Amino acid sequence: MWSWLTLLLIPFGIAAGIIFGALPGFSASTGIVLFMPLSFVLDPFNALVLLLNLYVGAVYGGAIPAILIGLPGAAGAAAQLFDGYPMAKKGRPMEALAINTTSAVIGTLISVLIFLFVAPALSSVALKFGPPEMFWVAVWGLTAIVAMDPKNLTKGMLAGLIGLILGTIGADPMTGSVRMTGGLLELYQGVPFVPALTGLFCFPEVVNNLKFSLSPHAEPPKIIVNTKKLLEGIKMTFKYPKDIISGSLIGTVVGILPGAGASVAAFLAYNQSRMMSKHPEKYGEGAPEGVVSTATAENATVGGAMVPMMTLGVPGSAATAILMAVLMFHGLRPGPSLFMEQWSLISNLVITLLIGSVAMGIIGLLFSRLCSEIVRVDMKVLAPLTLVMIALSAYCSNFSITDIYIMLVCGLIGLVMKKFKYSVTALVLGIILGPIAETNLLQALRMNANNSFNLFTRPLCMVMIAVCLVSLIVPYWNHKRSEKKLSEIDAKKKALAGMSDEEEDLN
Amino acid sequence: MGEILFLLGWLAFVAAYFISTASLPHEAKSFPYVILALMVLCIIVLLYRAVQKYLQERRAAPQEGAPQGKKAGVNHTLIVLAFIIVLSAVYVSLWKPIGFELSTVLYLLISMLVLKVKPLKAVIIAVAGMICLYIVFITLLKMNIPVLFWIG
Repeated sequence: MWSWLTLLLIPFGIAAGIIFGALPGFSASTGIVLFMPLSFVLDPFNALVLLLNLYVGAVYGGAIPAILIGLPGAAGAAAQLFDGYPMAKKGRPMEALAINTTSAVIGTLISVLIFLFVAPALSSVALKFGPPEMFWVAVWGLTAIVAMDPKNLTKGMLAGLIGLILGTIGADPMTGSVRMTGGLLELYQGVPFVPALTGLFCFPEVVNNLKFSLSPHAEPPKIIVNTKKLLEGIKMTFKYPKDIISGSLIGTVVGILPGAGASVAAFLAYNQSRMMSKHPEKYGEGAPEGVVSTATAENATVGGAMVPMMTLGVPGSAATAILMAVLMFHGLRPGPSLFMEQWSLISNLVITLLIGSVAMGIIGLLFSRLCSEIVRVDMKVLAPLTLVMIALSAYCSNFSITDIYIMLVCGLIGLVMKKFKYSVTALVLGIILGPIAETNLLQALRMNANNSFNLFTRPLCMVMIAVCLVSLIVPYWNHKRSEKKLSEIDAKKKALAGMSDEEEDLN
Repeated sequence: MGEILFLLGWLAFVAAYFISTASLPHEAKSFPYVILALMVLCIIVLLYRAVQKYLQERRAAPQEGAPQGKKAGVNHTLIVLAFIIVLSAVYVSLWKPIGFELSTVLYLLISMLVLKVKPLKAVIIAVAGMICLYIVFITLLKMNIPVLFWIG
């Protein structure tokens, strides 16, 4: 099974995956499709080694441009814009990239080990997640809006609702009736996600950075790019074990659920991390724990996504569907019997993935060292180049010029929302989770003759409702507690100031 | 005032969505209608706050008096940004008529000149940037992008 070729294919797959992941508009599935013909001439083991490692590298690679220039290479990396990009903007790109790489390696390792040891058990739990449970998973994701900005809850809610309503544009999931497309064919399958995401997140960032660089008093942050900072970033990751564990578990579980994906995992883990943090106010301004939680969760979806694919023969995403096709091409039948009949192959594949994760760490750090120089480039040069990349990213998702216009419209919406302090993230959450919520809600209602009773009475639904309630209450409670603390500090300061005034009067 | 217009814009969107989907089957519009109703509630609350804030600012404005020089500086930056945004839309519309290569070079060149990058540097970056993107996306990855010259 093992040969020198295997040892060469691991780093090759990882490096190719990182490049595909980092290129905006390309995804893990594009990379796998492009390398699929090569896998047909290899033996089954080496073919899977190449493609699985390419998948691992692509999931990781998307975060590199997200951190450096605010342009996520893949949808899952969008969550890196919350803290990774602000860290780079503050002159700490090396630390942000090192934290992202270390967290990605740990997330992948943990999820792959979980896959090896508990895959059959996990797949049986995942099978119990029907439409009612998936509806609550989507609602759980939406509760993150409360945690994002409890001070401006109404604004956050409106942003989330705008996202949800934009998510309903296109053919409805049950009857196929067309809603609010304005006759545009490109909108029949819904608002295209990649153009919307690049428009909402990247376009306003580029314009705002340009605005900053054009202002006469602009002082660019001092950017330190050296290997020492890289090592500091690696060390820093291990200061947040809680975020590593919760991110890895959330990523693995979400990866198992069909249709959820890396972006949902990253958003949920970020919300969870902020909820658990003693300093939630630091999130969004370059908090390392924000980078840790999102990177571990995003990369942990790899092991999770392999669970239903290998044990049930149910692919949860486009990339795993293509991987399953490759498995079948080589005469391997994914399903419950695969683990028993091909245990040696599965365990060896897991070993290659473990080696691949470490290789990803090394290649990723070298890549990060080279790429981090990009933040030194003058914004007046970088901004037009980034805008061209954004246009290409929007175009390459469906090869449609209309998608670029959609990106521009979303970009303008994002700009206005940022100006008036509406959460763009809440809007994106709505766009991602809206279709999942609607489809599963309607299916759940149809399952029970339009009776919503089963949405509340199924055991797993009850668990999910409890999780949603905790996610709603805890951030609000934390916010109230921190407000109380701040008012106490203010009162103490005032009292001290009053005492010193009295002393001066006495003197 | 800007926020009021932004909220009124979304209110108009809600109305347009409601009217355009009125004839659809119940199943297709039930979920969006719940969201539309919640949106209207949020917009009303936020409109009330925004109008109050606007009125307060208007009352306070004549007393403060904004410095003229600063205002002119902000306007210049905004004009440049607006130009770049409009230029981006024009650039995309030129992909098909004149091809990705020429439109990209022109876009990069004009935007960098507007942003006061030195002309020679702007020309070199515009041409080199286009060549790099062409090699990666068209020659290597064979992406279906409208081009004038195809070099495979």
